[in-house]
Amino acid sequence: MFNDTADEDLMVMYQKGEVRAFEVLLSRHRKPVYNFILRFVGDKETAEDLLQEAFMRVIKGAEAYKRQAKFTTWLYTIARNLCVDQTRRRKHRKHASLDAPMDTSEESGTLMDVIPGNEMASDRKSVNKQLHEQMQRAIGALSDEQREVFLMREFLDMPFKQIADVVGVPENTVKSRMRYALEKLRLELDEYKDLAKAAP
Amino acid sequence: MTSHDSGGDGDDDAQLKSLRAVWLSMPDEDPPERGLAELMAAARVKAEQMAKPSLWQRLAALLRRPPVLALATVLVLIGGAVFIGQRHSKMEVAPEASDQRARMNAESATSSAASGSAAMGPANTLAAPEAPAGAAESAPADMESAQPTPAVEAKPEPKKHEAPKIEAPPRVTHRPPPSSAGVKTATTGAPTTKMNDSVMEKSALSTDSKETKKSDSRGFDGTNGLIEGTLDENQSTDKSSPPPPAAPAEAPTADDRAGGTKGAATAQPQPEVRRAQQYIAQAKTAAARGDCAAARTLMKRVASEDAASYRKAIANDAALKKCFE
Repeated sequence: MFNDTADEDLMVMYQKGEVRAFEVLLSRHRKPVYNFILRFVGDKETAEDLLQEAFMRVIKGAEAYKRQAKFTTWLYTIARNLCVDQTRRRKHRKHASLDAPMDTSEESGTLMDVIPGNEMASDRKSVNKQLHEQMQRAIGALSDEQREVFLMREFLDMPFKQIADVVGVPENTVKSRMRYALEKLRLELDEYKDLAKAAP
Repeated sequence: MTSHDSGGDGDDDAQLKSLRAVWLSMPDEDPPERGLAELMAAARVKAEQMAKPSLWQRLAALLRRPPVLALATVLVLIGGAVFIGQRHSKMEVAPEASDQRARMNAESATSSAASGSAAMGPANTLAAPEAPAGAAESAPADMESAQPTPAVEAKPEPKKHEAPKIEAPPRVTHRPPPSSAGVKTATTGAPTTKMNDSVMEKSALSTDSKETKKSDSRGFDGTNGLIEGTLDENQSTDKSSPPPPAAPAEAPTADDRAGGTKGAATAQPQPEVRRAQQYIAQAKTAAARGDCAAARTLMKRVASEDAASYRKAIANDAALKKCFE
């Protein structure tokens, strides 16, 4: 019934008391928002909490939502703000990172090794795993500003204009950050370029 | 890829392409179902809240609409205008009443002066104070015997209270007499010789048949006050006469007394005649209204006061005549 309805229309319907409209919105955006948060903060539990908090804020602020605003811009602004707050808090605390060794010994694996991947052929799986690990590490090494722009641009396929709206900076700044992010990733993944070419 | 590059990346080299393929191949993880139920419960609660705004919210929203605001403004303006109008009309009624009394006094004075006693002349007016003194005692007695109305019963009461007031002139002089205008008009000799029927009818029409007695009594008292006021004035010229039985506070001011001495030379209407004229006017109004019972009652009083006026009124007024047929 609501599958073809635009997000903004669904939000307006929800404002009128239609819970089903919110349900559709949730099913549409829960996964991408979760993955955005997960790649931003790099921690599943935190990502779950932040996802919950982001949608709770959507519910609370539903009354104030205006039809003119793009729903995804609003939603990702909330999610991004939560992520930024979280990373700021984390800077003051000592947290285990995904790519940090779990033990002090050199042979111990990283948290990424514990995360299960998709079922693949063993050699390809290992290559992909290696690449994904390195990619995750490289993304984690980006600054917060570059990372958020990179994630929204590459994984959510957002136009620069919308990213600028979400982040709250001029569009040219977003483009500049994106350029620096790609440059940094290229350098980080330089040694894996042959492996990347071999990857499916 | 190229779409990304056209967006402003400017990175279309093969290395970046292959890298992009890697991160795009990174699998998306499914979010856990853990907090989904809580979210939906919160969403449902909020939806109910949004669907049903509270009564005051709806009322406030309704009142904030421009047409409602405009209507409220118009209502307030109309209400204010009506209120002010009512207040204004109330304020105008009192002067009208005093004007009527003044006119009646003046007319009755001139009519009595013209009708009857051209031969008597000023002597009659000078003798007038003595007559009311007797009349004031006799007239109520007559009326009580004829018709024991509240108006008649009310009359002796002021007598008791008003007598001392005359003995205390300073207190009396400070009061602005509403009948002073009438007295002055009477004394200065108003040119009108005919009763202003329209004015009388106007005042009479404002009362219904039940109120006829009330207005009667009011008119009676008022007239009595006027009469006694004039009496008092006359007494100031004739000290030998006994103090009048009823002298309302409004009558004898210093000015009035001065005017009274002036007006003593002019024709002062007989109190019975004035009363009779008032009764006639009220009876005419009652007859015109079709209230023959009231008209007859009033005319009976007229008959007891002034038989000549009684006959004249019945002869001249068709409505009255009809009541007596």
